[in-house]
Formats: sequence, structure tokens, C-alpha cells
Amino acid sequence: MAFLHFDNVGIAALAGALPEHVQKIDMDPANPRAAYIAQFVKQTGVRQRHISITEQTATDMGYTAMLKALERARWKADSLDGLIFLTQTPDFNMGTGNAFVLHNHLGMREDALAFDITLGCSSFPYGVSACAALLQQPYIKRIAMVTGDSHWQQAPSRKALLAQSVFLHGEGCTALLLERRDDSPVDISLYSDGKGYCFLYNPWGGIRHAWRKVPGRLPNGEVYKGGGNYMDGMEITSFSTMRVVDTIKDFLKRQSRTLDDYDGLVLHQANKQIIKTMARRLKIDLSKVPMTVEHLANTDGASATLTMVDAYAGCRKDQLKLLISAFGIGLSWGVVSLTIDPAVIVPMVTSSNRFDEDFLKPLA
Amino acid sequence: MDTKEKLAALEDIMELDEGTLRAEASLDDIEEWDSLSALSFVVLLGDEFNRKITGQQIRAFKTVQDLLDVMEEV
Repeated sequence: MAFLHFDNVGIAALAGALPEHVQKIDMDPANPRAAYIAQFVKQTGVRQRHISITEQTATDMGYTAMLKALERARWKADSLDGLIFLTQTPDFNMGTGNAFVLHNHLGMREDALAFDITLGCSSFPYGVSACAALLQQPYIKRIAMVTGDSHWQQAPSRKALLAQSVFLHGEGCTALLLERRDDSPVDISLYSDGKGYCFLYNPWGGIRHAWRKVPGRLPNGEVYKGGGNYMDGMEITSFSTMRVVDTIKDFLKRQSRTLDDYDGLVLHQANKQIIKTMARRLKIDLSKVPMTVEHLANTDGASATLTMVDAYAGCRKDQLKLLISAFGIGLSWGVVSLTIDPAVIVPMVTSSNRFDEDFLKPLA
Repeated sequence: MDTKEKLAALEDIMELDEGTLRAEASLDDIEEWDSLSALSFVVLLGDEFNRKITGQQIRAFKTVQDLLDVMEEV
């Protein structure tokens, strides 16, 4: 069973960075799809998103977030013993993970570890568990966890991107700095369901169909003929509102706690309908369940940490006890219980910065 | 929930006027029964009846009566 307990993992800083450009969903009643869009907004809650129009990658936004987090923790980048980057959208290729690009930009030490984890919306519990496990090692005292994805590249051009009238996903990136610290308990439970990979995946996204891109029928009867990710919305809704909720209940039972013991429940911002249903099934008041899906849209793996930044930066409490659950593609999900001092959370920043530094130079 | 209440809940999901939905109606003929309202139905079943349902089951439904039939606690 992947139930993890750590006594000594403290949060030194948390920062979030968003691309500057805000894109709103087209609510014009004259739009030929107005009825669909109205229902889409009602159910998903998404009204707008931050999206890069300067071709920023997760690394660019992660760099901005890292600088802010390092500043808040008063750490130098060369004091980090490791950096883990959680993304599905690397700058280059999977082996050349974003962790290396950021390791370079930040000027980290050569004896610091760096690697990517390619999870999606369940990134948070997995990232924290990897960092916490590494922090048990005597020579690893400080580690950075950077999480984020980009979506602009799915549009064929900037013009096509700006013309999108309805969307579910937005962009943003967070940097979480973790350190070994006494009397700082973190509890985590991790789950996977491989049978469910077919409910949310990109059938032609990897190499399995590289030589056989022929249309085929998916489990829900739909014909797939390319076009990126496929999602069976009903299965995913049912998975998150039923099974993930059961997992959270089970987690609380094992810890002999209730949601009253927590200051907040942070859920992956899949969509408003899912969040509200989960909250209702957990019998927790929505005032304790921060929501960012309306103004940030679904920001994939970074949504839990972006929501923490959005909701708790500037909060006056000494310590916040949070229960966090993230779930999605895989199927993969988990629950984390931790305590954070809101003073370590940097208010959200926006940026249009993009690194030009690249080893592929334009020909003169 | 009695049948009348169930029909009202379905009307709410499909954003239909009160009292317009009939049990014998074919789902194919209801324009408002689309993938988004099907999602709401999944949520309703979990929420009100603590019942899980698969996409496959939902796609097999033919009439409003089929929806009413699964709106029971198991």
C-alpha cells in the first residue's frame, strides 16, 4: 500500500507564476455556439484563463516562480540539492527534461540531482512524495519541486490561439521549496488505476501508433482519428466524484481525523461541477474549498499549488493545516496532509518572460 | 424521490421547462440530452443515490424511463 508518512518535511517557500495574457471565454449571445458555451461555463465554471502569447514554456514560468520562491526562502539556487520538474510538456524531448534546462538557468550545483516526472493532474502528491523521500537522505537537505504545463502550442498559430472561444485548460507554474525540518509531519496516500488509462489519453501521442495512425474505435464507441487527447468525460467525472472521494474519506479514517481538523481542502481544479460535487459528498462547506477554476481554468498538475497560492498568500494565520487531493490522467491520484506557514507563500506573479538562450541559433 | 421529483431533477439537468419531460420520451429526440447533461446525470446519481454508473451504461439508455430506473439507491 502506498501510504507514506514523514516526520520531517517542511515547506520553505511556495510561489506561482502565470503568463500575463488573460483570455476570456466568448459569452457573446450572437456566437453560433452560444447555447453550448453557456452550458459549458455553467458546468465547468471556466470563464477565463492565463495563456502565453509569447511562446513561454513551463520552464520559463517555472524559472519566474523559482526566483520568487528562492527569494522568499532566502536560499541561493546553489544551495539546492535537487530539483524535480513535473510536466507533460517538456521544452525539448523527454530525456532532456525541463529539470535540466532549469538547472542550467538557475546555476545549480553539479552534485544536485535533477529529473522530470511526467505525470498530469495528479502531480502534487507524487512530487511531494518523491521530494520527501529524498529528503530522508543525510546529504539532501533542500529540494525544489516545479510543476506546470503549457497549452498554447496546441494551436497552430497565435492567431488561431487568440480565436479560441471556449477552452478548459489554462497555464501556470509553481515552485515549492522543501527542506528537512524536525516536527513537520506530512502524510500521503498514492493510488493508480491502469485499467482507466483509456479514459483520458492521447492514443497517437507516443510511439505505439507511430506507424499505424489508422482511425479506431474507443471504449465509449467514439471513432478516434487523431486530434490529441481523448477524454471520456463520464468516466472521469464518475472517477473523481466517487472513487477519489472514497479515497479521501479512507485517508481521514486512517488518520483518525475529520475535515474539521483542517483549515482547507484543496482539490485539483478539474472543473467546478466536479469540485462542488466532491465537496458536497465530503460534507465540507465550500468556503473551506478554494476554487480557481473560474479565473485560471484547469491548470493540470499545477492546479493544487496554484490554488494554494491564490487562496492563502497573505493569509494571517500562523499555520494552515491543509488536505490536498489531486487526480487525473493515468488514472492516478493521491491525498496529502501537510502544514504550511502562509508567510512562506509568495503572492501570484505574472510574466511574459521567455528565455531566448538556446543552443539552436538562427542562421545568419 | 418519487417519479415526479426524479423527472424534475432530470428537467433541471437538461434545462427544460418544468413538467415538459415524459418518461416514455426517447432520449434521441431530446436535443438537451447531450454529453454535458449526461455528465450532470453521472454527478446526480453519485450525489443523490450514491450510485456509480459507467459511460457505457449511459450510452445504452434509450428512453427517459431508463434514466428513472437507475435513479434508485443500491
